[in-house]
Amino acid sequence: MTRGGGGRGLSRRWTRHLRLWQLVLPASLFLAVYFAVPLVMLFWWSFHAPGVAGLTLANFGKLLTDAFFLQTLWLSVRLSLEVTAVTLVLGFPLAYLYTRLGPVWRVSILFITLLPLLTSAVVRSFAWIVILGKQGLINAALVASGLVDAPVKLLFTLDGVRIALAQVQLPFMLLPLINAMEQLDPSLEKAAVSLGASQAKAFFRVTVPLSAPGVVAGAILSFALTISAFITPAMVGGGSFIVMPTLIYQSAIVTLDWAIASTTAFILLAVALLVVWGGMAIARRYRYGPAGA
Amino acid sequence: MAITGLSRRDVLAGGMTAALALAARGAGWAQQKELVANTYGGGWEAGHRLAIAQPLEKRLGVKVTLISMLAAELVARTKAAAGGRPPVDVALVDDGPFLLAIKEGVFQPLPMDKIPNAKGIFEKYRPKEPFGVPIGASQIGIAYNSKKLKTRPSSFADLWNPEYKGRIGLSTPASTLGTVTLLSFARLKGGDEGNVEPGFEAVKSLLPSVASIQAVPANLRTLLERGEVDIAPMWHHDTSILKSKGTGVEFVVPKEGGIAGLAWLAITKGATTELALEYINQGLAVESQQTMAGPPSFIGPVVEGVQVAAEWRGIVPATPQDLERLKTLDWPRINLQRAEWINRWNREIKV
Repeated sequence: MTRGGGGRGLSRRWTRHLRLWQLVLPASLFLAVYFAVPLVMLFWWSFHAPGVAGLTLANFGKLLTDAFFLQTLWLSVRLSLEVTAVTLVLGFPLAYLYTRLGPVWRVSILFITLLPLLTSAVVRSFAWIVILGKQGLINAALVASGLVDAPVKLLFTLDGVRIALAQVQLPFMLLPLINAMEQLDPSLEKAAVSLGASQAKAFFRVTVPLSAPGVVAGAILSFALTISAFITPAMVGGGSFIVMPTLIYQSAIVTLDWAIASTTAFILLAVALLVVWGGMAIARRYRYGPAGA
Repeated sequence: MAITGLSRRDVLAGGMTAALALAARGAGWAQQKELVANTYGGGWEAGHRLAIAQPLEKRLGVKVTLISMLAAELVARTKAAAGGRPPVDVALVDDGPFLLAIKEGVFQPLPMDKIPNAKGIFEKYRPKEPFGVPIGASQIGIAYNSKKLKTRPSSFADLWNPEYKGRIGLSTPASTLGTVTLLSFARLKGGDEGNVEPGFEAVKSLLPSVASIQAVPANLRTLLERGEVDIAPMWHHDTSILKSKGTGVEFVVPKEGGIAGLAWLAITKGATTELALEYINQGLAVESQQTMAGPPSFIGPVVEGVQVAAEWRGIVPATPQDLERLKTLDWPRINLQRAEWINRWNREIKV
């Protein structure tokens, strides 16, 4: 942006801004109608309770003092953090590999990791029932190989849900990571090695910190999608535990208690934003702090 | 959900319309000559297409769009769209959600004289209020895999048989099936709609034998088919679909009596009424009811004069004797407590 002299330059800049804003106008209108308005209305709902005139904090009070609700909230947050960690551990080496492979391998990696997204959550969950069940592929193989005597319980456990969720969130971690790593100059690592760093040290001190923006973007996507996942925990979890979206579904759809549904949704949203914000703060320190020097 | 809150809720619901109706529109944007109705997927969808949608399209030259949506979701969406375009013209709902929807005021009163076929409805199934007509009868009993279990259950009490340990599937009270299961257990131990405590006690004592608890009955059907569970309280039509696939899954009407569930057709406020009435009337025609009573839907007829094939007699409730054995539940009373039951189930029942 060149700095023009006086008012004329300012107005030209202003016009240019305006033009840019026109470009995002359709998206802004779309979001305003389909996202912001319902969100504001749901927020409004959460401050109303049946039988109470005017605004009230009763819904929040009721939920936040309920031990079961807090346990469920904690389980949702923990599960989402764990799934995000799994996708990071699996995705980081995969992304690193991707940037160092030829076009055929690249396409194969992308195709295989993106494949689960091409089916619906319901179909995917049915597939997991076939794979994880006690009559399923994994157990059939384990029993046939003599490694175990009786089928291992995988379906309807938290572990089963972690596996199923990590699979589908992997691309959301992988793509930002690939994007971040592709922008890195490969000669940086070579330079570090030529200056006496070991290969491992060069990887951890150069590549890892410089990939931080990709990690943050991937982690946010993976966390946000996991904490709002509804079908997979319900089907693969099979009643062994309850997550926040299940609670929201029950009050919004089954019992039509929209005040409680909105409040639950807002508490979940607030906690998720808090976790995301915390993660970003940590990532910023990691990148610009002493480790990145 | 106190009644005192209703008026303000209604006002707010109207306010939400602008945003939510827009979202609901996608599914229900109907042209003049188009009718949108929901169905439950699986056998229901096939049955409704064959017995209601297709004859109507042929006769009137209109287009009938069937969308798959469970009753509870339909009621919630229709409520959200109040004042705007509803997601469907004709709604298919179970007993519980039907009453809830009437209370929420999202259905039109029906001019019964415009539904001549309603005259054939069995006395036992006649609607008490003019907001809908029954379209199909189902019963809840026990589905069990005869290839994998030696003993055929004869009552809900038999679920406690040690042979079934680790093989049982249940549904949460968030579904009609789960609510009925809870009440059947309560009745078994001396409880009823007013006293569900024995039901919870029974479920807890059964937990060591339970392999999975599902929120959606269709999932339970898949688990039965896959052999992940081998015995479960189940709808007769879902069981019949499994049986007809040669899975060895059989349906047992418990000796204490199967429990009746009615599916209702209602017209939403803001719907294209004329066409909707034609759809309902077609659904109650004897030929349509006859078609739905067979494969692949196995839905029990609600009008007199329908014959069920020998293989499915006693399973698909159709004769006056079948009806005699069916038990009905006090749904208005259940609805008042259902939220509390679901809440309690969330906290206390875990596999």
